[in-house]
Amino acid sequence: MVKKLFKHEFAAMGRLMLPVLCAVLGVGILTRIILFFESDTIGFNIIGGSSFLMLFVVMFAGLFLAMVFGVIRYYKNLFSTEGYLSFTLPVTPAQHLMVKSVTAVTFYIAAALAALVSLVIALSGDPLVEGVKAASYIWAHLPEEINKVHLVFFAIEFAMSMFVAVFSSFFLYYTCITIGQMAKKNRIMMAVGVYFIYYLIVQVFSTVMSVLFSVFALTPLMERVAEFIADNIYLCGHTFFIGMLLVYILIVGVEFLVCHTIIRKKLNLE
Amino acid sequence: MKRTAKILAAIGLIIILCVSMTGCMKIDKMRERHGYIDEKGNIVVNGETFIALPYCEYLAPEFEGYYGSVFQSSDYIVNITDKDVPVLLSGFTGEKCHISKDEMYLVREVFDEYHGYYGEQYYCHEDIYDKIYSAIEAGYSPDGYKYDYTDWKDEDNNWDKEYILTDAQVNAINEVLSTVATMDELPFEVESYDYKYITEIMSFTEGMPFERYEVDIYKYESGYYIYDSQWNEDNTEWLYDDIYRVPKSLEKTFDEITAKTKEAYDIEIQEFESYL
Repeated sequence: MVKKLFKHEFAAMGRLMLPVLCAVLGVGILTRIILFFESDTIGFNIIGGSSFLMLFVVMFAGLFLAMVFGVIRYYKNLFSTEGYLSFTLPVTPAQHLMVKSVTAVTFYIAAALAALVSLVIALSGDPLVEGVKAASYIWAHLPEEINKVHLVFFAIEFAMSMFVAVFSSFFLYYTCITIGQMAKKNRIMMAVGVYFIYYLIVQVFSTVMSVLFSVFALTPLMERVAEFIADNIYLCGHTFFIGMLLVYILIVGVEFLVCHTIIRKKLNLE
Repeated sequence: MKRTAKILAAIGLIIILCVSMTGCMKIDKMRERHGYIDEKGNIVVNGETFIALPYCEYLAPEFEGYYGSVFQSSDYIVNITDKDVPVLLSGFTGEKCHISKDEMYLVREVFDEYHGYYGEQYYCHEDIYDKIYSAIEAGYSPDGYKYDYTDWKDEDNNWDKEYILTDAQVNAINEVLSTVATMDELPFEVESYDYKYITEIMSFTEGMPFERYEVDIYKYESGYYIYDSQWNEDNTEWLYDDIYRVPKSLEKTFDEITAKTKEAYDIEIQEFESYL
């Protein structure tokens, strides 16, 4: 049943996202065609510059829409009138959450890949070839003190953290919507309110941590910590990235539990 | 429908492939201004080789936008890097030098250990190297005399205009230098610009990038003064410093010689006074 749910979820998101992905790729192709007529005139500089500006706007718009559609799909399919059908299916709330989040993240990553491919298309030819040469040269001529193996692992750890961070972003909105749906009226406003409360808590927490850090920075211990980091830069780097990954996993876990518990015990459909 | 879609997709891919094979004008321009130093110490820029010229005090090729620093005009700046540095990184590594407008000469700032400062090393294109080198070896033989002036009336291009002196004007200067007794010092302070205007007379060789400073002509309230200072060939030793007062009989000729400088000076004074 979960497989069928995935299939339908992908089809539904695909109907929304495919035109967006095609538009992103299309703008990349259009930009490349415009660059084909490159000249030194002011007119071309304006048109060429505008086409690149449009490309970057469309790339970010694609990512933004992927996020928006994923969140809207979650709300509509589970908490609007469609929810009556969804919750009659032989699928547990956990499976619903998993299907929704995996589909949303997949299309978000697809939008990111489409943006990257679009940029590659726009720069294809000499700019791309020279860009690759420049990147290879920089990699080959990194100072000997920099350990390339560690850099590769940093990149992998960072990519994994970002992957989980995308899940965390979606689950944050899912949590706000799930808490919001408990209200009798103005459920969306309630969800927005929950988001603002979360944002406020995060800001207060960040401010408190900044103040504590500033105070800590004035102590002699800070110097020793800085020395330790300088002497063990790779160890601290891996600790940081893996720590970030674990924090994101923890956040996703908490948000998942909140959504799951509310859906199981406090579901309030329209 | 499927077949049509496949054909359209194939056409689209071919278009993208063809379009993507084209170059990029900005990168082509960067390549034109990217060079490296080969095993022989020559500079190779976009496939063209430039060979270092020996030091010559009167070698002065014309460089647009170069006034003793390579950062004046980016159109004529060449980035010299190692041979394997990609063109996109050429602006961030290596050194910069300046290329002339006709792309026949390069000037590179090198550290002169003897003098303890950065001096200029000139390079010329390999096609004209033999000609220039032979001319340097043959010694300096000027064909005429000139000075640079600013023509404020030409709104499009007022810098570095040249006025070439006539034979009569050259003879007038030589007459002063050969017949008039020298003075001990100028009757005004050069450093505080007590004079009205100055005309720097240079000699030059026709068709060659050679010119040399000869004398300065100062216009002061009491008349004209010629200031003739010379350094040795290596610019390491000051040889002499002679000052001449131009006789009244030749002042009219000197008015004609310095007419262009005076015109620029009068316009500058007028503008200055209009601001007050």
